[in-house]
Amino acid sequence: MIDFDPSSFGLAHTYQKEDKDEINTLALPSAPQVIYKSLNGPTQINGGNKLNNFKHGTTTLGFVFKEGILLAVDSRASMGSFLSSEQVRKVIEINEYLLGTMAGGAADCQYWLAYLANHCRTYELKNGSKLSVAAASKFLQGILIGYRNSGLSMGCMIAGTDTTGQHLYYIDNDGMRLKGDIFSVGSGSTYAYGVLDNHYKYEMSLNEAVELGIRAIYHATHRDTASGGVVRVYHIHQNGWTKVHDGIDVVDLHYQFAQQKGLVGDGDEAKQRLF
Amino acid sequence: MDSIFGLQGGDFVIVACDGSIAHSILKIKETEDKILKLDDHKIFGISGEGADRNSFGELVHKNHSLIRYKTGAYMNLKETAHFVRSMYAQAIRSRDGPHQCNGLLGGVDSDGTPSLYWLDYLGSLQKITRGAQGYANYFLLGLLDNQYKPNLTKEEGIEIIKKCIKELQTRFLIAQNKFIVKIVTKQGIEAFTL
Repeated sequence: MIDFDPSSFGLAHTYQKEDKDEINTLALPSAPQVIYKSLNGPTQINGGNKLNNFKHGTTTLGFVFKEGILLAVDSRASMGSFLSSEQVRKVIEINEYLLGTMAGGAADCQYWLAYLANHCRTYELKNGSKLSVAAASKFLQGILIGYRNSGLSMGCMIAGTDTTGQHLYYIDNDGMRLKGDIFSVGSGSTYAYGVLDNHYKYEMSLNEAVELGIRAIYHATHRDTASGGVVRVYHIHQNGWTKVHDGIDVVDLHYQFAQQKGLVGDGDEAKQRLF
Repeated sequence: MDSIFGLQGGDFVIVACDGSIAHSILKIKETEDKILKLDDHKIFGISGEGADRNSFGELVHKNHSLIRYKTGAYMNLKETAHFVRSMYAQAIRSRDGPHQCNGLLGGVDSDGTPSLYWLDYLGSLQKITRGAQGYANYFLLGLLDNQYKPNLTKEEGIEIIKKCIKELQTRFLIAQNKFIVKIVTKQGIEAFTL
């Protein structure tokens, strides 16, 4: 850093290195100061901690295929047995080349993904090039490690495109970051995995991938009470992301898929006779 | 639930790990590489919950590189093992507690001598010729003790590792399908999945 003293002309002198700048060891990234820690300790499994009793009712999924990455999510938010919304946006548009999915606490996901968006933009301005997906997801992981025992609840996927291609990362509130090809997060994820694992092929075309994403979310919403609403589908490719479907009602999908099999969709496939 | 196990032979060291990451009843990933490459002749297999394994691994890797840049010299295996042990030990009574992960550090020095070290989360360090971390201990130590002999060749070492994997797949309750195996010799590191 060059320091100019405008009152005198002379050779510019470089910034004096102070002893305290010398790096002795590299430490774990320091978390932003945690001023308020949750009063009742870390979240317990069955919602023992009332302050952080978030419901993880959701199904989100993402997978990598030859044309990029497909993200598909449901849109239901439930508070216990009360449906608070059927139109939640669970894919968060971080910037034109990065998307994040939301599972767990909505506030946590929205806030920290917005924080990440801020960081990405600052980096881009300071360094003249975009932050890679690996670096962006690592930054988020560093934050979540710092807040590990504070009761954050997030199970998000970061998906995006950079100069090395399209990448998908799974990050959760324990500070785990995994790179992978197929992820599904939320209470309905097990049902979605069943459909995904069965039909997934890397060589799928975009239409096949969109169909698979929609079907997997539909099946999860059918069996999981905490997932439902509409299906939203995003596609990430080398030029950024596109919103493929903004909201397809899963109830309509139910009857459509039933019809394709020659069924009516009233749930009476076993043809139960009452007498 | 991670299985990490390893073996030291006449002129090589093998460290193998299972590839699965689990979250409650789900197996989120099957191909996770839990063996960190510290440099061209050292590997460090880490067993522990996701975040600790990841973050401690990064800490070791970056500080190991920092020492090289500061001093201009590469540490040998013994120095690295003691260095990693001191990182574990410093954390034991720290604010965040011990790093919740165990490890197997293996490699070959520039003169060709292989060594394998067993490290645990409280800072225990032991130089061994064969060993494992986690539940794999229960299933594999008997087999490793039985099959080990001094100055194993690389092919014999790989055969023993294959027997270990078969044993885990037969007897361990948790299905572990994919294993990642890394072998360090004087020529460098070879990695493959089994």
